[in-house]
Amino acid sequence: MGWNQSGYEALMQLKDEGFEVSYQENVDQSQVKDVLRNYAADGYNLVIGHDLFFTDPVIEVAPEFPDTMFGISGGAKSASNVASVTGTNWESAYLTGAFAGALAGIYITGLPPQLHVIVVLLVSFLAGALWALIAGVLKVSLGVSEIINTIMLVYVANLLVDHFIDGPLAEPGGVISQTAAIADSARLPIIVNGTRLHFGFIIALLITVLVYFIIWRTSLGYQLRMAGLNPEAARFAGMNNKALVLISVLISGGIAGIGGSIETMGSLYRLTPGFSGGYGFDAIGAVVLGKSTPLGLTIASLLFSVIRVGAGAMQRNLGVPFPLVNVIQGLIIIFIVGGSYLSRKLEILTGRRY
Amino acid sequence: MGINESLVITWAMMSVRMTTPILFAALGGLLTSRTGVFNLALEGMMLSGAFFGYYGALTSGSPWMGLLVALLIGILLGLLFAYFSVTLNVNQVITSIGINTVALGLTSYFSRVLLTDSDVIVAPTFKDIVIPGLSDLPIIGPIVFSHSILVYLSILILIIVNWFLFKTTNGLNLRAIGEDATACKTVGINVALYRYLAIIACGALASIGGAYITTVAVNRFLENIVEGRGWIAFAAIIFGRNMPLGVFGACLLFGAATALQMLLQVQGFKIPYRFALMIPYVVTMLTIALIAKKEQIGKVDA
Repeated sequence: MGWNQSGYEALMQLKDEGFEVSYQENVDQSQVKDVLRNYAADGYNLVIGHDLFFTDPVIEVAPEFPDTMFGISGGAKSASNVASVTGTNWESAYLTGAFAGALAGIYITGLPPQLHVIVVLLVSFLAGALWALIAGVLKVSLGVSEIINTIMLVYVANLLVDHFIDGPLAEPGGVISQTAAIADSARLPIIVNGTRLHFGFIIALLITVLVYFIIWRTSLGYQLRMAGLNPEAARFAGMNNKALVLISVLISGGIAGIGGSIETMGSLYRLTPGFSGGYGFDAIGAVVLGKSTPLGLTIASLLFSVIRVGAGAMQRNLGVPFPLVNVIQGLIIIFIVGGSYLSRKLEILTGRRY
Repeated sequence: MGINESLVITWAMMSVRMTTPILFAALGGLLTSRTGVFNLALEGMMLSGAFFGYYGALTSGSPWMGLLVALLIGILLGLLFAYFSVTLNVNQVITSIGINTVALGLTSYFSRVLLTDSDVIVAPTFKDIVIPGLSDLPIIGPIVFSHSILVYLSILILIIVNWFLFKTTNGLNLRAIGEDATACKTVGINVALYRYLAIIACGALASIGGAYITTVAVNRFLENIVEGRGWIAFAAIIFGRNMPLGVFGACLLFGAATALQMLLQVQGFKIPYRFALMIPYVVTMLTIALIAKKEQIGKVDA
């Protein structure tokens, strides 16, 4: 059934790419395809699985699942999945975005409110995109796994941002280390009186719709989906896979950056060392839980924020330690991925996808 | 010259110590990657070992007890990962993310719940072994012969892993599974069993690596104390090209980078401490970029 042949082909193609060869040699071919089928059946992690360890057996498996799902909208998360880069860098893009956004909010003054907010959003988009580009460029030019690099970049971004908050950009004359507050014109208005729900929520929804539109209604989106689904076919069709990866990395990093600046403009107003609550990591869980569909991601993001807010209240009122949030999120991820085993079995039994 | 020389010796000595936790985890990860399973949960396993090793040592009063607790926790986590990646055969990357997240949450949770009202938060640690004669040797003495038992244990395990992989039939089988598991199944090798044992060994080793941090290097637990060392260990496997000695070399490099970072802070160099802290992460990124480039040029080599 072309079992060995596909493995052989995969290996031959990989040899052109150097770095992955040593990996591929250690991958169990039969398992690769099973794992890939599993991704396809679940619809969400084809892109994640394919990039580091299993590059080309996708070709064989992909036609079996013509309507395999992709990352769509829901912010930075799935935009980066589309062209096969695991975006664990959301946390660092989020950080840099929040930081750059805060700077723009503090040091640019004298603008009318709407314009100021837009400037901050743009600056944070750029910062997040450029930061994400580091791992993206290393991936595309040298074939370096973005998984390790993005984790390393989270640590570097944390240290870098904290350094500036603590040192050169600390509020002059301040007692504790924090930046100055952002200008009033850069603050997002509250949309429901008596709550802290701010306009950032609307911005997030708008971006969700925008990303959905880009992915499903533009030729760029089509190319991104193709490159994620079947990189070889996309290349034969004349698409520039590397450029597509970079574009998706730029967009996803940029959107994560906007996520950071929204938090700054909507509720933090100023930055303190370690200000990030790890939202970028939450995003990974939201993608897994939402199975990279737009509605799923939005609901999953809402769920995670409810857990987070609830844990905050429990910590304040009952003294339940906040890290319980991570336990719950991690268990959700583990159960979801374990559940993919069941949906695969069901699929074999009934011939239907779940 | 005299000052620089002693500084270099200190650096080398600290490098050896900082290498050890990464080496434990990387040797474990090497075993699983040789079976074709990629364990990205090294970070979570180290973190669990760090907490439970510390807590075991704290409550029992003996670092050995801590090590034993860490070992058991590591075996349990290894079983969990093996069940998902071998029995259920589901996505290893996402399973790893889940395990890492739970480990971060649980260790932080426990450290807040179990350690708050305790005045004694300093756990007993493994002491450095003084080898009569050898420890007094100039240069070699402090660098090689003045460490805790775990440092020597990590070297012993390095030798064992190397011997096992390349000198035993079981090791040959294990490597063969990584090359072509289907072929191994046809000749009757129990692929699942090998993978289970490799992953469990990996969990145990990574956990001991984590316990090293809290029972030798530091004598207390801080949230997320592993700080990416599990990921750096994974990078070491890549940089070491899946060979035990190569992995050892990579771990030494990353250990030296960590030691440099500490030294820069202690010595009061005019460099913001957060930039010093970045060194291990940047070095890791640079080295895996470097080897990627190298393999592209001489691609037949691998």
